[in-house]
Amino acid sequence: MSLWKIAWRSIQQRAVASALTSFSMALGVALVVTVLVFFGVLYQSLHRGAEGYDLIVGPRGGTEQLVLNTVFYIGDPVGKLPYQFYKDLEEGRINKNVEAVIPVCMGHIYQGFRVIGTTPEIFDRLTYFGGQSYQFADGENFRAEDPFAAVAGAVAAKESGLRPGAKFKATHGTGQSAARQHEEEFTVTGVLKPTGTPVDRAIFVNMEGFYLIHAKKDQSSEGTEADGTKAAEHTSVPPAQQNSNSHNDDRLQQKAGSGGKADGDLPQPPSSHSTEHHSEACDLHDCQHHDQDDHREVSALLVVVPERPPGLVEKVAFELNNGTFDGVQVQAVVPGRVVASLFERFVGKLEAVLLVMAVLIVVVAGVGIMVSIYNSMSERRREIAIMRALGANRVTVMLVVLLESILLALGGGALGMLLGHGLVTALAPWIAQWTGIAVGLFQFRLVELLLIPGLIALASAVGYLPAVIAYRTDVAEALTANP
Amino acid sequence: MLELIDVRKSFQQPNGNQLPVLDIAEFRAAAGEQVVLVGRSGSGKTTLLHVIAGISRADSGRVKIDGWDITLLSEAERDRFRAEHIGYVFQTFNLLPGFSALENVLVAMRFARGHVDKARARQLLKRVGLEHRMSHKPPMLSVGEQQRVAVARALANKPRLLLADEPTASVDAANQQAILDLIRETCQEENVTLLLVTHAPEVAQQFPRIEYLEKFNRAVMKL
Repeated sequence: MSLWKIAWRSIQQRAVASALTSFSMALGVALVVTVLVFFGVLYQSLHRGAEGYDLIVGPRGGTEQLVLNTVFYIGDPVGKLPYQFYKDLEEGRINKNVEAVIPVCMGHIYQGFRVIGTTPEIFDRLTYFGGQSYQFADGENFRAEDPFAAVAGAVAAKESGLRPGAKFKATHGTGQSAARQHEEEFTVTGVLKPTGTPVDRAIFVNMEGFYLIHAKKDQSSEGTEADGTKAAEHTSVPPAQQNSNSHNDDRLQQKAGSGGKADGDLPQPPSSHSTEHHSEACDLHDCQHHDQDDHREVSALLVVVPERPPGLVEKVAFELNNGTFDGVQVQAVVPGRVVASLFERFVGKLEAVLLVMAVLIVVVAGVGIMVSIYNSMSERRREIAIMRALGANRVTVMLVVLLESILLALGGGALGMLLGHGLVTALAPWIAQWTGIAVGLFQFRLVELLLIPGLIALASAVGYLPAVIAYRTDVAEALTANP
Repeated sequence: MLELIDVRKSFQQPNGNQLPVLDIAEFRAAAGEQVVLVGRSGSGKTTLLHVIAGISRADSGRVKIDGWDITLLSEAERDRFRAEHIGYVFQTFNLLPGFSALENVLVAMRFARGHVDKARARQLLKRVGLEHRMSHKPPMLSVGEQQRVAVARALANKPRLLLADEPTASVDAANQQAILDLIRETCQEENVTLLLVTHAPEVAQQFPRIEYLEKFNRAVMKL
């Protein structure tokens, strides 16, 4: 018969009080577990979006704004990069250590979801969270030669009702600033499977379509846009770049006014859209490629760098950050680091505050265990004296009380972990909807293992006082006292 | 086997004065001997057993058991000595209420040796007639059955000395003789020295050796 069993029998003796104190510990631990798992999911969710590429390259400006806008589609772009810079980087004229470059163009929404202009390579070439490839739940990726094709993220598709074949019109602007709806319709070619990344909540269109609707818009309005988006697209380029590109803007205005914006980058004329679109694309072909590229802009670039040699990402970032490319200065950031920094600065502090509160609740529950055992000591004096009379020494009876405290704490802790994970599992459908991350009953965070030594230490601390009382019990006096 | 020489024990009263309870010049019991100590209430019977068991420490004098002077042992050593060499049957049984009959016997083994001998525990409970009540906890046992468990527990570690403090005082009349016979027979079977205290003459007269505390406890004689 072990001392654990002897302690367990003592707990059974006071089943109701023991259960209540253990349950209070369970509630505290459940709260700790819930906070840990919840923030773990949040952290994972944030990091997932920043995986699959090595660098984000954007105009000089706020690093965090660049990452928030490019990775999470939050806020406005820092500015714009000339399209030619994208092409030069992609084709290795700026840096030979670049494996792939995916452009990202912001500035439109549909039913509250960001509409991102990009190339099909974003889903063909990039991966997410641990190297997983993007998969389509329905339909397929859009094709480069189809400028008005689109792909919807899982949540965006579900909430906006978009499915393959559906058409939609993007609205210029973002969020509150969204003002004017474009006439041109994009057609959905595919819906992505959930990824647990911000991609789920976005709609991706062929970047060429973006340029075409702007060309048409410019054609009709001949200049400045009422919603200010165009202003943002152009004036957010740093002043030096604006000056150097000002002639390009003029040329863009002139071209738009004289018959539409050309797009020499379209490999083939669009074939599956309206006659208007088709003729517009044909007009674009009439223009010179380089001239067109001078007027196009992108919000940011997602850059993939070869894995070897180690440190190449930092080298490429350094070179981009410290160079001037045809008058253009850019910033290149490693998204994971910025996300980690953002998490630590904002979410991490909230997690710490909630964890401290939850741990305080656990400590209070621990004090409850102490009070429960302490209150039982007067009625247990005889029991302890009997053990002593049977040969148990002072340390042994002290150990029995400490073990009792530890059992109550660990029992409550185990129940709390089940409750916490049960709660998270019950909330799993909502968490999956918000973050795309499927949370299971046994999705543990390693840090949860600290609860075991933590609870043992707490139980030892709170059990010490009653254990000392047991230690000091006068056997003869307790045995001769009336039972 | 048991030897007490000039053993004194007193307790401090609330007014600060010392109250002598034991003052025994000499007392001896041979191995396997069965001795009954008779004394009225307050004559120091329980205190004497506590001193012999090492539960209380004598103020002075020597208490030797099998050649070991337990007054020279530390408290922890006395605890261990008591667990290994002395069995104790209390007037109020003092069973652990949360433990079954079998566990009450096993727990005594655990404290004495660090391990248990379930076969012996079962055998002892069978010997005291409780083979069908081993898994029952004390509240589910009759008073007589509880005292039987207490006897089995006292013999669990094969003690050399069994101290019995009015073991039949809390037992109904029908069970008194049975308990007494059980204690004496098992002690005889296991060659255990028995020192039983009682205030009941009908119990005392069954023993071959009767000692009256009033006659050899000078603390009582002075009262």
